[in-house]
Amino acid sequence: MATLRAILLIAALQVRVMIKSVRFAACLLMAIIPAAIALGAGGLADAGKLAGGLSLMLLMFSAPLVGLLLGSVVIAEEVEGRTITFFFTRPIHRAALFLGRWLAVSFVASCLMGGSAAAITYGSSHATFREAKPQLEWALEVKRGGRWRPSRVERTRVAAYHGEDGRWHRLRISHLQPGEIKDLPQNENGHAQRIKARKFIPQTLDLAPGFGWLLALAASLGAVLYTIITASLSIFVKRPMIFGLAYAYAVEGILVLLPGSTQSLSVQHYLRSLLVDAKQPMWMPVFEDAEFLSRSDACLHLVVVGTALLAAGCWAVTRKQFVLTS
Amino acid sequence: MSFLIEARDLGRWYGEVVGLADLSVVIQPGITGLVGPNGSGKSTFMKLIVGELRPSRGSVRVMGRTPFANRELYSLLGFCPQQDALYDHLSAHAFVSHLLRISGFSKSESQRRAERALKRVGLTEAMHRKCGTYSKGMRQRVRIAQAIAHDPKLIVFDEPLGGLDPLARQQVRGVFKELAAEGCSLLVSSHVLHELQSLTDRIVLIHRGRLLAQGCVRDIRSLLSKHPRRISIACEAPTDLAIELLRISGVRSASIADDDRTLTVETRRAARLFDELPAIASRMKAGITSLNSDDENLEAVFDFLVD
Repeated sequence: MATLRAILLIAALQVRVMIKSVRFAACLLMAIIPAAIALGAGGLADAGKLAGGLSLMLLMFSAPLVGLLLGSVVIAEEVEGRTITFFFTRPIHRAALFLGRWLAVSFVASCLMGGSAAAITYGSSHATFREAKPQLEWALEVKRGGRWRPSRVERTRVAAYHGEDGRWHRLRISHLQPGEIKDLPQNENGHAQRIKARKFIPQTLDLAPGFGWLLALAASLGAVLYTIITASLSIFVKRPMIFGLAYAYAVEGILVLLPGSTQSLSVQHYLRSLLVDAKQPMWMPVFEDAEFLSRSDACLHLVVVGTALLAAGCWAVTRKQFVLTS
Repeated sequence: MSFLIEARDLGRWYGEVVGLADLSVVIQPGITGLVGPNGSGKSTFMKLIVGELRPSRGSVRVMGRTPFANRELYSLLGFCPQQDALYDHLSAHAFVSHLLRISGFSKSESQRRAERALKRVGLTEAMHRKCGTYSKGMRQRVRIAQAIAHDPKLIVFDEPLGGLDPLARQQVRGVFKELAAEGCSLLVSSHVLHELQSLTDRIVLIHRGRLLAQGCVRDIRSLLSKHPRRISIACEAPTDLAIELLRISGVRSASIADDDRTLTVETRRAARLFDELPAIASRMKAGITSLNSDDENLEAVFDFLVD
């Protein structure tokens, strides 16, 4: 009980000190930027694409950076500020300092990421309902054997087609009405071709059910796991951010691109597994050629890895001697 | 017999740098002064006592316990570190009471004790101001307050008088005496011997990580009296003054600096020199503008004792 009480008191103190720091302001900015884009510029874009893009930004950029930034203060800041002595000469378990400070930063990190995810979801969905225009479905038809046959069907605002010279040409089709036909020059094979406007497709909210919750869960869990990584590193090195950044943006960046089971060595793999059922159009390149875990397995893996790292951190902080310079 | 602090063949290295080497010393309850020049190993010894570090060799026991990460011991121990480290965003009162709460005191008890400790070190007016706005001396007093607030049985002070003005020094010395009168044992380090003289008669001298001498101040003073003292005198007629001073018993040498204004005299009987100097200076119209003695610099004394 005494240790638990100490953990909570240290966490409360850390929150109090942290929210006045420049580091916290930087993290707040990391959380606000994607949320502001969703809330402010959402009406200009497609809901699914906007939410997908901002989700990627949140998971791959903001969550790691916020987690690493906040996690790195857990022990390193106390050592650098030489205030660690005050805690290590109190009748509490040494690990209470590590756990208390980690609890504070992970709470703040998950609040920031959860809030940002909620804002992204809200902004994307509401912007779509407010300003989204229906899309025109059109077909590029080619005449073969006396019959017009569709060669491709799309919903873009600009049509691209091959001309007689074999080069690509572009045609704006947004002014066409359903059923309207626009003749094109023959293609390089001498076939006649045309654009046929088919019908307006009302643009619906493209977010999968529960997308917001899943995004908030993935972003929060991700940020918390990254705080554990740098918190544990901060016991051993003076600048844990450098190692954390190298892992999150260099090592993981390579791992997620590799096929096969090597992806499971990255935090991102598990975070994406949480969202795999709610994938968005923008996510498709990321989800291709990868085998993901079920949502519960992904959660379990993250919790096990996080707990193991925390336990290792507690063990290390209990045994390590921190040499403070005068 | 159980001692307050017992170190046996205690050694501590920082890589290839020796912080403490084969220190064997026993410290009894009461006030003990730990004296040594800068870099002598005082802080390392104190960090070993409070369990911030583990010995590289040998052992240290505090109140019969091994100190490293010993929670039971920390209820009985207070530590005032030398480093100027505080949470600048917090007030002294918030800082001390928070540490007390972490130590297991209730909220109201922590606030009461924090207030009492801060009043005791003379921070009554400023205790609710943020530590970031404090002067160096005030910050030092906050560190002293957090060390005494939980009424420990042993308090370890690492250079506690550094950065304090004369009035604050007097006040803090008073607090130390009160604590000792209440039955608390104190280990106080300083690189200036006379700072501790008014506090305690018991001194432990360490130098280059080794125990140099231990005992009462009188014994150590007698060692110091054999050490020739160097006195620098800035005056207008150094040559004439030097001739006269060399006639005083105990004066071994006199030398004049290149600026032709500073005379350095070495004597084994400083008291006699100081007695006779005013009359000689007046008679010679020497025009003395300043007088300095290296007595406070223990480095010279330690070198003398080591040799």
